[in-house]
Order: sequence, then C-alpha cells, then structure tokens
Amino acid sequence: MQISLLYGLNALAAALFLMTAFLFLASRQTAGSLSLFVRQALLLSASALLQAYALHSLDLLLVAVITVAAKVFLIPWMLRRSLGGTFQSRREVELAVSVPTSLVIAIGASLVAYFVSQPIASQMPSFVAVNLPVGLAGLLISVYALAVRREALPQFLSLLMLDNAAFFAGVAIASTSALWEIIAALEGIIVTIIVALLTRTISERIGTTQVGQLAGLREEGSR
Amino acid sequence: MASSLLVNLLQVLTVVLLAPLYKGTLAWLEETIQGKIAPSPLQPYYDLRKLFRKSQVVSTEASWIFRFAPYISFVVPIVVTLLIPVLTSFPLFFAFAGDMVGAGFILGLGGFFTALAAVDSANPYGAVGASRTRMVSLLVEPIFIIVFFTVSFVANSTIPYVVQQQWVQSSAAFFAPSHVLLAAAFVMIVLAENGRLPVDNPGGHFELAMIDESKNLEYSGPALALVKWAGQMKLMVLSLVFLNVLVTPLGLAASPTAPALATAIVLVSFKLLIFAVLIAAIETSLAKLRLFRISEFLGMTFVTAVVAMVAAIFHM
Repeated sequence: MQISLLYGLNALAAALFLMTAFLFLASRQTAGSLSLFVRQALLLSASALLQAYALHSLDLLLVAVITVAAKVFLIPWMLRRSLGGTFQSRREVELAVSVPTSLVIAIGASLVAYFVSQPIASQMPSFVAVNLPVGLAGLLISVYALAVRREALPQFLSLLMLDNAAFFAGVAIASTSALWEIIAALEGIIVTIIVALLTRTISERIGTTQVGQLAGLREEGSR
Repeated sequence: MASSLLVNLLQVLTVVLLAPLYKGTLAWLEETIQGKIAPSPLQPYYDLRKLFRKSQVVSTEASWIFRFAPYISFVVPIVVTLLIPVLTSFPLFFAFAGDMVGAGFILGLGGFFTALAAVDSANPYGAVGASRTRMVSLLVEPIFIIVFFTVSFVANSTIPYVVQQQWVQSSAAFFAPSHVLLAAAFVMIVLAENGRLPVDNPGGHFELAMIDESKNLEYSGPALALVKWAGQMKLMVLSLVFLNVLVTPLGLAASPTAPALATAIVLVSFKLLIFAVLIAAIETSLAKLRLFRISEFLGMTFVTAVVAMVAAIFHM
C-alpha cells in the first residue's frame, strides 16, 4: 500500500475522531454517549493499526488490539452489565452549560489545540502532524465535558474519552513503547470496576446518579 | 463561445428535467428502506402535471409578492445552475459571472421571497413556517460562509470550477481532516436547507410541526407546481455542489462533445443516486429534532465547519 494513502486514511480517522468528540459534547443521552465512545475507540485503534502497518511496529499493533479488546468490548460490556438500568432510565443527561455554549467553547479548544501544537507538528512527519492537534483538541474537549456533565456515568465516559484522546496523540508520538499502553488499558478496566461499583452504591443509597445534586446526606432529610 | 453557451443551457435543462426524478428516487429509496410500499420514482412528474392543469386560487389578502414569489423561487436554482459545474470539468460561459458566495446570495434571495409570500398570504401557518425557515436559514448562513472561507483558504478561489480540482490532486488532499470535516458539514447543510430530517420531516402533514412545507400551504395549481419544482431543483443543485465541487469532481465531461456530455449525464446521475442512498440512510436512522434542538444540530455543523477551516489553515 502506498504511504500517502496510509497518511490519507489516518487523516480520515483523525477527522472522524474529532467529530465524535464534538458529537459527544452535544449528545444528551447516556446510551448515545457510550456508543460514541466505542466508535471513537475504534477510530483510535484504526489510526494505531495504520501507523503499525506504515512503521512496521509490533507495539502499535498491540496497542490497537488492546484498545479494541478493552474499550470496544470489555468496558462497554462491564458498564452495561453493572449499570444496565441507568442507560435506559436516564434518557437526558443533565448539563451545567447549554449545548450551543459548549460547542462554542469546543471551537475555542480546537483552535487552541491547533495553535499550540503547530510549532511542534510542523516539524514532524505526517502522522504526528495530524494526530497531535486532533488528540490535544479531543483532550481539551473531554476535560470540558467532564466538567459540565452532572451525572456520574457521563462523567466517567468523558474520562474514558479523555483517555482515548491522550492515546490518539500518544500513538503518533511514542510509536516504539507499548508497555505504558498496556498498563494504561488495564488501569482503565480497574477504574471502570471501581467507578461502576461506586455509582451502583450511590444509586442504591440515593436512588439517582445525578451527582450534581448531591448536596447533603440522606440521613439529614434533604431527600 | 457558442458551444460553451449551449453546454451551459444543457446543464440547466439537465437540472430542470432531472430534479423531480431525483426527489422521487430519494422518496422511493426512503420508503423502500423503511419497508413501506413506495410511490414510483416518477411520482413528482405526475404531481407536477396534475398541478399545472388545475386552476389557481389566490387569497384576497395577498399582494403581488404572493403572485411573483413562485416565479422567483423557480428561477433562482436555474441561475445558480449556470454558475456551478453540473456536467463539465472546464469552465462554461457564465462560470466567472459569480462565485460560490454569489450563488449563496442568489439562493438566499429565493428564500427571502418565499418567506415574504408565506407571510403575505395571511395564513397563520404560513407566517409560522416562514419564521421557522428563517430561523434555520439564519443558523445555516454562517456555516455556508465558513465553508466558503475554508474553500478559499485551500483553493485560493471561490469560483466552483477552480475549487473542484483541488481536493482530488492527491489522496492526502482528499483525506485531509479539513476536507472530511468540510464534507460532513456540507451534508448537514444540505439536510437543513432542504427541510430534510433531522431538521424537518419532508413527509409530515401536520401544520404545527412543519417548517419547510408550510411556506407553500396557500399555493395551489401551477404556482404550487412551480414552488415544488423549485424545491426539487434546490435539493439537486446543492447535492451537485457537494458532489461536483467539494467531494467527487469525477466523471465530468472534459470536452464539449456529445458523447462526452452524454457519458457525463449518466455518471452524474449515478453519483446523485449514491448520494440519495446516503441521505436516505441518514434520514431513516434519525428522528426529527424538536424545534429548539435544531440550533444544537446546526451548532454542531458550525463547529465542524470552523474546525475544518482551522485545520485547513494550520496544515498549509
């Protein structure tokens, strides 16, 4: 396969990756957010696969495989299994900031990402030049999404999106070491278990996972 | 000179005559995908023929604007057709008479007059529909402008015939993030501007929920035929801008000869068919948004377009 075609397909994956980040910011449904996360993880592994093929890197191949296994299959399965009801019962996620305002802020975030990474990216080969600004933009957007979501599960999904974005830039920069990727992927699973258990406990105790409204304890009679 | 003018007229004829078929095929595809018994793709032609034979009723409240608006909205897509590449990859007689911004202005003129006419008819639903259409157009306008900015950053021009060659020079240019995002934003604009799902339901017959359709409620007979035909041409013109200028300027005639042009008509129809399948798939998988959620959909489109522009600037 031609190297320019690989560059092209990677850029396509990057563009779609950025779009899923925006869609995530604009989505109000928990189930939709989860499926966006899965798609974004698929795009991340596509980018890693393309780079593995182009650079003949076994490490990146491993990264792609682990990403698919953990983020496309394992984490969604675990979340659905432990919190299945929450996906269906809460159709509309509560947001601290309205969606149009968030989208304007997302424009600012992507502009900053492109501006900041320009001096580095312009010196680098094409994979980095594409992945670095997109990953950085995804990172900023996920941090913002984390701040404005007022419910535990969407917040956790933003955290996972943040993970995706960091890896999206990461696979392009550090294409020769896979160890930290493996650890990070395992860490993601562990975090999932912890958060799922925590959310379940909160849900059982208080009857909701709207953490934005957890002003007082139940014993004090606030609910 | 003369041949280029003739080809330009052929382009107009292609759009005028094939637009109902395009809309009909789109409706047929959608209904078939949704498992309904679909009307024939030729149904729009039958509708137009029926409407042209009927007599026209005009409200006593209506002024000259109401009578003139159908003609204006019918002429507007034709004028735009003169400016864009429909069948050829070389510039034609009117190619440099106006650029994409000019084409946007001309389409805006048509929208302005149909909105005025809807208010003019004194039908309350007309005014509601007109104000909603204006709301959607108001939100679409900046996205159009950002798309044109992106195009001019990449191609150093906004003349459609110059722009069309830019994206297919290399696979890197074709798959560049700016191009992918731009194409995605333009698809969403095409949906919003033509009253398709998720912004408006083209099959809906409930006046209170209508956006695009309710402008035409007071029209009847030949005037309604013209308005409908204009809507079909607008959909086709925007699809052609998407296909021939922004994404796949392939299969176009390179010389003004009859065989080349005939092949181009077939290939362009084929591209339109594929685009119709894409629109049908999008429309089947999405539900209509509530009116105040439309701003979120178009905000999403705006962000996509802006990031396309940012990526175009920084990747140069």
